Amino acid sequence: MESRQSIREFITGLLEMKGERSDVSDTEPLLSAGLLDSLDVMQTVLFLEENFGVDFSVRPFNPDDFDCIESINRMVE
Amino acid sequence: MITLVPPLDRFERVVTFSQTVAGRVVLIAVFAAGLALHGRSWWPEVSVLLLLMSFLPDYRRQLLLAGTMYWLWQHTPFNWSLIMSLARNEGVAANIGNSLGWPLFQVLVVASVLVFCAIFYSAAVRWRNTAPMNRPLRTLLFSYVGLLALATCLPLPSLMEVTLWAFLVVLGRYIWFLAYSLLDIPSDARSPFILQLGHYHPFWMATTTSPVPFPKGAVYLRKIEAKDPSELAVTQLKGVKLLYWAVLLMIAQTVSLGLIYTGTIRFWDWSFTLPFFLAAPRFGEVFGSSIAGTPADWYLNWLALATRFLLDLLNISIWGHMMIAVCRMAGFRALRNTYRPLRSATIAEFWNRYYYYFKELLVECFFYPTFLRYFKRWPRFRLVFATMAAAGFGNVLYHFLRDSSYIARLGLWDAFLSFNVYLFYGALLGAAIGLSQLRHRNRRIDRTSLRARVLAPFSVLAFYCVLSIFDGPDRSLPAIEYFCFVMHLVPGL
Repeated sequence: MESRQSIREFITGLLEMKGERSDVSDTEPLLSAGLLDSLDVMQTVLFLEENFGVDFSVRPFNPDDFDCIESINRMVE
Repeated sequence: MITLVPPLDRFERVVTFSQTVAGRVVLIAVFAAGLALHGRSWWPEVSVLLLLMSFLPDYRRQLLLAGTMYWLWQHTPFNWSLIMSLARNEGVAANIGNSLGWPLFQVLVVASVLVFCAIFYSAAVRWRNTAPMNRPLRTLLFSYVGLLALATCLPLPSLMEVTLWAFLVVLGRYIWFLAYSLLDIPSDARSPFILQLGHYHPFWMATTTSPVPFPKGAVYLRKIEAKDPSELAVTQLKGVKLLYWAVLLMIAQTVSLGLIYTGTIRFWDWSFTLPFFLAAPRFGEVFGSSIAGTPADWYLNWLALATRFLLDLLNISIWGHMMIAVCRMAGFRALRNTYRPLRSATIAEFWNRYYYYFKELLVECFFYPTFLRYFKRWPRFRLVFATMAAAGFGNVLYHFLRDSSYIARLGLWDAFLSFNVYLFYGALLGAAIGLSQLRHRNRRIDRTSLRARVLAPFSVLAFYCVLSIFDGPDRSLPAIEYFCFVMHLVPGL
């Protein structure tokens, strides 16, 4: 639950920085709806590496996992 | 604010009507009229396909495959003229014509390429955890470059050489589609390869021979496919809107060409002469003058460069909108290829907005793998390095492989050397995007102040405008000619 909140704050921060609306639900598509782009995925990767110790060089990387807050959270749980 | 194309997808009654039988037929009819207005002679074939896909959404993937195969047969996207010219030079054109016949030869070559793709994909799935298939994209690109080297270096019998080149030219058009299939391998929900062939140069790419997959690959298509009648209606209404927006842009393009260059405006069968026009020189003319040692005045050089840049921007918007509009009508809510590029406040943002699907291809094939593997302890350098790998190396490699006619004519090494200007272009672009990302990382993009709304976009456009000089299609000119032209943009030089 804590990780989900932390990820939510990070994603809404990213959206606000881009000037996009930030009132997104946990299951709302972010990439396929064009709210975030692939370069934002990299910011999210950095965030997950630094805050949750996720190592994408040893686990499979699938951009699809970054499409909504819930799927991002699944990677750290 | 005036809305030129009404937001049909937000009108509840329109969305409800579009889900009925009559509504679907009307939508396809309106779309077909838009295609005809656009001057697309194939509008009847596309309309029939879209009608079938609208009424049989459960068979969308199968119909996509059938449509794409039909298109492949009727409107081949491959450069057969290169192969025929090579066959004539090698003296085997008549042999092929008399023994197999050119149409059968072409069918056999395309079939063998698709079989190659299927075998490579199956091998990548089967041996995904063992080298070299644990990094299948790298293996694919090395294999392709290796085959190009063989074709240019080995003293093969003429017929075999022509056949190998035909195979490589066709594979070159499919290589990035196969790359997306390979990227789909880790996914649990991956589509069977036979259905993936439906989006190997899909029928909505009818207006182009570009090897850039629109819109990306199987992962993305699964994500954006309309799941119910309501989503389909909204997606198709967005498709109609985008097509008519492209028609308006096409009219703007025609008017601009008349106002800037010709003094004549032609719409379909109508033509009228303008009482005045700018009579600006074309970029080719001022660039030619610069090469000849008699450069035009600096302001004329700027005028020719800026008008070419802006018209190219308009052209790529129309081109991309057409494809995405048809894709949306087929039931996939794809993002636009070009989205408000003039609003870009940073160099990185423009790159994202200008040619989205090319950028996505480079990001998925080059940026992600580099970023996830290298320089993890140096986050700033890591970002710039990965960006260079995509916008620099990946960009240059894509164009080098795309222009196979140079490789066929000059050989691998000389073709590479002839790419020196584009190498410079790629390196500068990669460095600029990387630095732009670093500079604006963790910073809110201001879209309210005068600086943000006018000065920042103007600076970004000026950068890309000057950079576009080095993106010329002519690979035979030495780099110095391009730098000389840049100098001729400065007053007094």
